[in-house]
Amino acid sequence: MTSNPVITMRNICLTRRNRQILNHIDLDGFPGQVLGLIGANGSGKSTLLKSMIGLLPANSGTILLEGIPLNKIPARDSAKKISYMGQENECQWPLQVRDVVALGRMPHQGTWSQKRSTEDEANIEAAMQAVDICHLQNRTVTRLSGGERRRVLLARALAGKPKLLLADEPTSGLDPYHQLQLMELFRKQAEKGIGIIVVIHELTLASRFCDRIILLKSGKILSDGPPSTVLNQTNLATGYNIQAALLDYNGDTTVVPWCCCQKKENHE
Amino acid sequence: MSLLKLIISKMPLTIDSIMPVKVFLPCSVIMSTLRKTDRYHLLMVTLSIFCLLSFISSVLVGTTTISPWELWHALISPEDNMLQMVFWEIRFPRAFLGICVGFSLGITGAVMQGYMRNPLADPGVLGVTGGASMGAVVAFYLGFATIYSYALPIGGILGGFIVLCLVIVASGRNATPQTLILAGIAFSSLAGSVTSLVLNFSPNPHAAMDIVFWLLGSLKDRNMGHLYLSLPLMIPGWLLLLYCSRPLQALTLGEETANSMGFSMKKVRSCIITGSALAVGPAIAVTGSIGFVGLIIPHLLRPLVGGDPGKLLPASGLGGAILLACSDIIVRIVPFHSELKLGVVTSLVGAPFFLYLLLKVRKEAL
Repeated sequence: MTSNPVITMRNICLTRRNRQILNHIDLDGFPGQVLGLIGANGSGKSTLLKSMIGLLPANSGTILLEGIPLNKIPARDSAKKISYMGQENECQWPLQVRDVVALGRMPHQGTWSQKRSTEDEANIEAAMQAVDICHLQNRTVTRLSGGERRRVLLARALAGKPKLLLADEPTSGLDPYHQLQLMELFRKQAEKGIGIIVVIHELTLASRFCDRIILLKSGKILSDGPPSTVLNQTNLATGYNIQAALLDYNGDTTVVPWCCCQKKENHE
Repeated sequence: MSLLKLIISKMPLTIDSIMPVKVFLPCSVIMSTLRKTDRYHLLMVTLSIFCLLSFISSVLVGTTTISPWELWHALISPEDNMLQMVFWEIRFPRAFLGICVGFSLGITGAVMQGYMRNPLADPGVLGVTGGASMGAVVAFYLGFATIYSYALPIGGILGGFIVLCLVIVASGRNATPQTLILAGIAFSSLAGSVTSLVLNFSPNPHAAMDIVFWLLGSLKDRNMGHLYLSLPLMIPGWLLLLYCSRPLQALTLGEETANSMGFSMKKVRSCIITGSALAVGPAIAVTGSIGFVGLIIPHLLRPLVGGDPGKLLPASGLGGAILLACSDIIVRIVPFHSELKLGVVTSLVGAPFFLYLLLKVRKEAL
């Protein structure tokens, strides 16, 4: 990878209530790359994502956004560069889809003005086209199906023209078609030069769509590299305590979680 | 006139072909031909006109009804006259206070529902209302009210702020809306029990009656002094709350997402807490507790602003002002032996409306 990383994390430690959640994490997010964060529940994936947007500030270590320390950048300026899709997928009020997507332009707008500039409108339109929700734009967001709503929220995140897109379990609760559709959209966005970091539980999707995978275990990086090297039997056994079938499909390695490991956790 | 031109310009047909139809176009057709921003402006204009109309009617209605022309002539006449005095001493402060208090309740209700992301939140959720009632009642009981006529509102304002400070301390530095609600409920009920305690200890039935009547809320006998006391606090409160309209829009997608959009939730929280205390505390302190306005008005207007929690704020303020001014008119024109109280009317008008809304929502959900 020749280009400079969008986000650089060095030696990140994060402790909450005497529990070390992140332990000396080093991470680089490059433009045009889909980076998958995987690991068991509670391994610190979401926390890592939240520390990138300053939602859970790290206790030590440095985070650089395009080479500038994150804590030196005003919140609004960093919000222009990083978009975050949280685990929360609900939309509280019955807004129209177009208005939800327009929320993504907020970091670019003034505090008092509600007016959308032509640039805002163009970006909203482009974001809706990118995820193919133009036909939904006048619908009420609370009445959409899960898959449609997830795409609306993705359009919201893209409308701000971010350099880095963080998504926390974007595929959870979706059917296979919509999971694949969403991941294909991520890939397409990555090809346009956005850096993408997704927390993902579906190992099959991770192996298929990610350029690089980081496997976390108890707040530490267990393995970091392309899917074919990270997703091997030893790593899956240590990281998840599972055995998986590693299949070869048209030259791509596909991971199918198969059964729990026999060994007890306290023997580790 | 410019509005009409605007409406016509949005029409897909040529003006000639629809000339006869144009005049009779039903409201809904006009609404659907307008763009969304124009629709919002139209709503705001309509609400403002109704607000002004209800203010004017409120000024004209009273023990003797004044005709608009009479009042106009009295006001522009150079020499002092009776009507002029009645207007400035009685009618104007009462009507204007009604508008301001209604605006405060409406806007704070909308902010609370937006921030708590809870359709049941109302201006009293942070305990300010309960605290203001408690403060005024205590001032009443201690006899300050007979010595100094503004003791009640001042006591109410102080009470509201004391309870608010307790809520802030109790909910901690990293309070979430949930902890704020819980702390608010705890101190509201504490303030409520202090109010009951004062009633319990009241020396005679008359004093108890006075307190109960005050608690029911009224705009009767309010003068310019009450306005001077409450308005300088309410206006900064309104501005603080209006400042929160953008973060409230972002909060539609949850607190984390709003944070990631560059809004510091800590800052937003302090803005909302301070703003609502400044807006509602003096309002309740001056009028007594008035329920339901802050709860139903946001629900009533939310569909008309397309669910947008930011645009809802000014609309909801105006709506609250209209409801309160109209309720105050009802209070004065309905003939009863004893005076009808404002808080009673707002609840009586509000509850059926709310039920209607519920039935509508239920039908849509089916």
